[in-house]
Amino acid sequence: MPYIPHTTDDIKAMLNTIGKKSVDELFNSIPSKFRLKADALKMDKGLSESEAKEKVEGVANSNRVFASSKNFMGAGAYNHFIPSAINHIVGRSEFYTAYTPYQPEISQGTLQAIFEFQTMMCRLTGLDVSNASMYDGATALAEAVMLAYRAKREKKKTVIVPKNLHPEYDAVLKLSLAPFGLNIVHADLDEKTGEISTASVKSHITPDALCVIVQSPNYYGVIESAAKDIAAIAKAADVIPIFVCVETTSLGMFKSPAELGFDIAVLEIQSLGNPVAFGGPYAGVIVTKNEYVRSLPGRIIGETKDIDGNRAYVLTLATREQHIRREKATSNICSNQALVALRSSVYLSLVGEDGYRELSKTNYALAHYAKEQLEKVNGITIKYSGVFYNEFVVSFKSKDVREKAYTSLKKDGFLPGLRHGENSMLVAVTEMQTKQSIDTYVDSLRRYVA
Amino acid sequence: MKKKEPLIFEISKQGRKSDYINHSSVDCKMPSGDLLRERIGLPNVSELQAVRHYTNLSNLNFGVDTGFYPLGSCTMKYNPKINEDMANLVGFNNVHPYQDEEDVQGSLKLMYELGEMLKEISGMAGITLIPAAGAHGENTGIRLINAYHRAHGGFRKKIIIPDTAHGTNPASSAFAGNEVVAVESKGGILRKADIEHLVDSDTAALMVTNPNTLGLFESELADIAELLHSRGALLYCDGANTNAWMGQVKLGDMGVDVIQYNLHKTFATPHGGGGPGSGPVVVSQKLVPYLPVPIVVKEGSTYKLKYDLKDTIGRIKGFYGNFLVYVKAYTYLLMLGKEGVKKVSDMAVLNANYIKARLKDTYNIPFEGDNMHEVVLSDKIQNEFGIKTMDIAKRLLDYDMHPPTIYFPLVVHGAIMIEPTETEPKEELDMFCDVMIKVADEAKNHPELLHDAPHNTPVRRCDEVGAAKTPVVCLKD
Repeated sequence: MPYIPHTTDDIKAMLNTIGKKSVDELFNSIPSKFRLKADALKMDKGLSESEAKEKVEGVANSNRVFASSKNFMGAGAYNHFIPSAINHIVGRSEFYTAYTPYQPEISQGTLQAIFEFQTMMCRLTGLDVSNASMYDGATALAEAVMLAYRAKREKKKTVIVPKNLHPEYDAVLKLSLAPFGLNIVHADLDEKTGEISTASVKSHITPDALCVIVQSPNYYGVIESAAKDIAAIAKAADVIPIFVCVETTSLGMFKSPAELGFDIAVLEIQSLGNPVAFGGPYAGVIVTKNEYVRSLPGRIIGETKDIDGNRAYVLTLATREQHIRREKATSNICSNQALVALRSSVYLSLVGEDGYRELSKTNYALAHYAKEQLEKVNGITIKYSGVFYNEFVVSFKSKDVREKAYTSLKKDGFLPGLRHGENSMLVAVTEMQTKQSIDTYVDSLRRYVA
Repeated sequence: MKKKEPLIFEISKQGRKSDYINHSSVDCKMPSGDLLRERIGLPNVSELQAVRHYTNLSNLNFGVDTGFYPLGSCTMKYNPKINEDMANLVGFNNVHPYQDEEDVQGSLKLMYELGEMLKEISGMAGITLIPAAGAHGENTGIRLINAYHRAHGGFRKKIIIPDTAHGTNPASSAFAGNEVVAVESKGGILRKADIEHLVDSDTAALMVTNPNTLGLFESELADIAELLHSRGALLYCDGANTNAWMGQVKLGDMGVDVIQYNLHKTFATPHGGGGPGSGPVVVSQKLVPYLPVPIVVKEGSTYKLKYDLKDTIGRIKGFYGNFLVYVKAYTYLLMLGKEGVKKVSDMAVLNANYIKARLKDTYNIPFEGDNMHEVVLSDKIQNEFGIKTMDIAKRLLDYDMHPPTIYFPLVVHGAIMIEPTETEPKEELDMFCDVMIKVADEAKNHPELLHDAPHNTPVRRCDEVGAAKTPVVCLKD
């Protein structure tokens, strides 16, 4: 049995100190009729490390991995380049085998790294204060709505949700908010542009309206060009505007949520140095204005001094949290996604200001090249006309045509995109593609829709 | 080694460029300027600067690989290196969550088999792996209980929680829309008689932690389950302390309806400085219909994600949870096997009892009883010399040890909660006990050593009150 260091003599000596005859006796507080026999569990015998490795590698090998340059799937999980240095840094066990930094004297590494992360999140969004991470973008959005709810003293209950919000975010919201009697109303899409209809948002702004959510780029990849107007309309009616960004590399070029007038921003940071990894771990983050800091859920790191006057970092504002405030806490979150946040911090440090801005533009440029090429293909249309970032919806003549194209592209080694609706497909293009890989994709697609 | 490291922003220089990302191979007109932003304020450093920066930061940290980490309630056991290697496999990392099922059979098989093992260990009927952490699992479990009641006579508001439960339990219940009824457990163990008068037609469930936060096994659990069930209520058991009982007993046999596991505790996946964790929830038969979607099922030899569950509570998180954490727990469980699962709890309980035996004459033990995987001491004896738990904890830092959990559970004044785990050798336990005894001696004879501790750490006691009073939570640009 691996990882157990005791020798038979150790165990004897320890039992002797304890004053018991056997290890079994230590379990006497479990009623005997429920005690399991030594061999009772229906599980296999333990494997050696060598056997375990072979088995798990076999499991991994039965997944199909698509080459990065042939992967056109996004929809909330994006295929971006991950610098080698990230795994080496985050693989340092001083980071990954530490607990939540409760003892600041021996946790300055984690604490300072999170403080830097918070700073990066504040700068990406233009807002004042960020928490240290939430489980993912979807749960962070639900928590952000609860933050708004508390900020408005639990008086207003209507949550305006756009129809082009990521469907999983929408589902998580529905589940999370239900116990509190919050009503979700959906704002319509402008079917032409793919943006949310400002008129529809307006029509939902009633005295009971608590907040309005805007995702940009939205689920269809479209930039909400009227986001600024929506934020202004909302604020004029005492409604809190909440900005959601799932493809956070877009913030390298597009206006920050603060510049657009939003008071709360929710980011999913998977794109920043984290693999798609079958859906997780990713991380969400809530960034907001100073006035809401005491309602913010999750860990927050603050700067302070030690008794010698040295700069130091500590977990702060803990009176918001579950272990102090119990059932009156701002959230029940305890463990978060700290190591994912660290990965994103390292990522942003490595690519840097200039690299991040260029990354964003490269995504934009390649995606637009792909769209222009696809538009020329007979039998394919681009569904929405709005300005987009690195993702867009392609429509085929029928479901059959799409299916045929999808299956055939997969045979050619492409992960073609995500099937969407009756006859469409959501296509993401990142810096992992090149002009050449896009041309090959478009050529194949042309053959299959002909 | 450096004791101070500047902020990454303080070593940044404008104009320094990185070269990680492909330059665009196409030209493109950018969108209109009113959509675009100016400077962000991210740092520009070279790779060496970044690597040194984070390496220096890591040296200011303390992990399980650094030294003894007896943080009670947290199960800081060794995190085997093979788990990390397996979680880094390309076959897991480069797989998109929306790929067709036929292309992700490996991931689904892993989730299915991990789920089966976790069900078997607790003797429960159904599982969702999705919750991202223990508290997320707790909240999910309470929501399942609420769904059950809605389908069986109507919503019940009250969740009874003893004072020996985990700290997240009350908040996890509140965020499911329930009301918490606190109950005092006299003598450390919850007795059926303690709750009999509280369980009524508005009681949804009792939420206990087992073993509880005093490290004691709730020996009346089966009777309590019977009482609850006879009044239509359910039994939730916080499974964060599974390291104490796995392989010894199946809590499902005792009538428990919901348990959340903490893979980042019992199943050796690392804590990552705060996360990601993973909090799978196992349930009894009556709660299976309400599990969140999707669940993984096996049909013939094919694995599928099932969404069409008529009575599901819905979706609790994006995608399918912290998948790479599953890979680590799965690898670990394959290596443990059935004999290893029991051996873990055998040795975890032995180690805790050994520490208790060695320290019981030096420190106050507030609750007598048969300890399982952890032991709670208090500072009562040391109070006489003006020494508090905080001082003892800080002094341990000078001896290169991570302090135990302190001031928790709340039922013990000045609690010192020690959980050694099964992976620590006797030599390490002895060293810890020797240090604890020495510190007790210092408390009596050189109390100033404790008041001023720690002395040698990268920073010393921090002004936490000041940090909260005027929060500085990011570096101004």
